[in-house]
Amino acid sequence: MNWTKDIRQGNIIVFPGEPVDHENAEDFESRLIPSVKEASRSGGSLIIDFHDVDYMTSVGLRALMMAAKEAEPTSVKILVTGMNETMREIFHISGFEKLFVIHESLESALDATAAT
Amino acid sequence: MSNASDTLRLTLSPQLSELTRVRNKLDRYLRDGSLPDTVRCTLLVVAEEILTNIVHYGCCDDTSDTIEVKVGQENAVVHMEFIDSGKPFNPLKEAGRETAGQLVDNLELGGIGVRLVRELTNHQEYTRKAGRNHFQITKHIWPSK
Repeated sequence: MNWTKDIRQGNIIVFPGEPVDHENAEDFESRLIPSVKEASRSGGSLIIDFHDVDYMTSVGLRALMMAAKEAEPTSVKILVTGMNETMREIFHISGFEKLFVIHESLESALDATAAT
Repeated sequence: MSNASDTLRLTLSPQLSELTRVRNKLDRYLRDGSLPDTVRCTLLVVAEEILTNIVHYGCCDDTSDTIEVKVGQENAVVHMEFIDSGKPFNPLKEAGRETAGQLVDNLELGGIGVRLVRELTNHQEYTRKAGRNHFQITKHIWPSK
């Protein structure tokens, strides 16, 4: 994957960098779960920036669900940002708006983590 | 916009390993048709969900079976058809009726894929003809759904 990572203010920020489908969903999940654990260790949040993620199929949504379940017993909040119109629609259809806090920009997501 | 006679036709074995080849060819075809990105991306999602469901829950017991995919554009509508010779299988009836909340709890099921297909397209139709399943969807290009 074109996966990159950044750390700001104790928060883990990950950039999957490409659409998530059958071909890379396993790789996506294998990187996402450790990112949740890293956020837990650092005491921060996990921000997933979906810039350049043009779309995601249900296998990618499953990986996100696994990340949400991994975060559940911890204090890690998962925020998402950078979604295009297709991704917002997919999140709406799948009900994932209930699972993740959606922000319009990375800056607003970081501001939200600073406020908590 | 592509000529109505420019139809993409693909034949694949009923194996998930074929999805990459299908996706790449479909993506190239949709890009050549100068479709809005939202339409192109939703159709890529729809195609993967349908094919995954056919492979997992429908087709096919015989390794010589194939799945045909036909994609065409006409009058600002994209048509996609999936044809296979497996057992009778209608994804519209057999999954996808869950609420969004139930889908979040049951992601292992095929339901979320069909839910995406139903909501991302304008029309879906299943028929069984001459021992083959035909699943068709249409997607309006303007305005995007």
